[in-house]
Amino acid sequence: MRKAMLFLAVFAFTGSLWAADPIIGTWKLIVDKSKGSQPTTDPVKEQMEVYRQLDSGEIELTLTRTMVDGTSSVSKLTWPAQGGTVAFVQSDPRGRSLVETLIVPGEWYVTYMRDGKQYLIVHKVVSKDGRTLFQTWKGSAGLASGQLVDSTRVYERQ
Amino acid sequence: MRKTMFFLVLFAMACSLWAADPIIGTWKLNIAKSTFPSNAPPPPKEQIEAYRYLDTGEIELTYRLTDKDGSSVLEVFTWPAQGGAAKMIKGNIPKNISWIQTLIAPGEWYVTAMEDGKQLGTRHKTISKDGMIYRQSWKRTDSRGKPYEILLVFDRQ
Repeated sequence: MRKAMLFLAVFAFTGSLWAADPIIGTWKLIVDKSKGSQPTTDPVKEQMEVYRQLDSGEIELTLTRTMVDGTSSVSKLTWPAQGGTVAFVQSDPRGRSLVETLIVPGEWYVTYMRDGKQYLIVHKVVSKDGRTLFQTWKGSAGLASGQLVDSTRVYERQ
Repeated sequence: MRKTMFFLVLFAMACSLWAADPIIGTWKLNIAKSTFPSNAPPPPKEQIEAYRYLDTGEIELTYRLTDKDGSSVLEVFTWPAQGGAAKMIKGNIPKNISWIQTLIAPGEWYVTAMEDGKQLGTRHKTISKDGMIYRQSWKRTDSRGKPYEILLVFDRQ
């Protein structure tokens, strides 16, 4: 009985150590619930973000985006699960470098930089019940436009 | 009279546009008000951080630390005033260590320390509303992988 209890305790302990970040999963942008300015140059009609933990100890984000004009794109990024520099696996970095900073599980800051200078930050927070992902965008929209962005985007877990 | 008023308003607007980040200044660690958990490095004897703007559009941090055994560290870092990648100008930190200074809002910064691109820890810097207290919450893990958090409280000099 004692051995079984010990085994269960060790199992629960290791399970908690390996618990996935609450951001892991598939998230759909709810355009109606999102507010604030978004770049007029590329308004989004539909967006899906899929976060998954890789065996390499990284997090992979696959971002599928459909614009109002019907064009669509897929980007794939990876970064260390403990936070760190973002690698552009499938998409053109267009002179950008990104760092994903893990604040606590389910809370991240993304720092967008051009030539090492910050131009945009995204604060990602997963709600306590794990069903909603809030993204607050602040800064400049694009590399060339310089258009200001101040928006909150709401995603629902699929 | 109207012209004088116009110039005064213009001057006030220009001053507000160029308002320095509240972190700019010299800060001395208040050890009595800071907290150091048992698995974190012990508190220093003295720590001073001086932040200033450079003409290059960067912020420079001069960091001086004196330990209880009398040994001291002097490091100088710069980064873009709007936030971004930090450069070590003076100091003996390995080259595979890098930092990003993320500006959240004036007087609030996140520092991400990385080793070979992997996050080692974060520092959250906030300035009190009256501009007199600077708090730095430092989250890292010890050599056994156990996380710890240090809260450093600085007084403006």
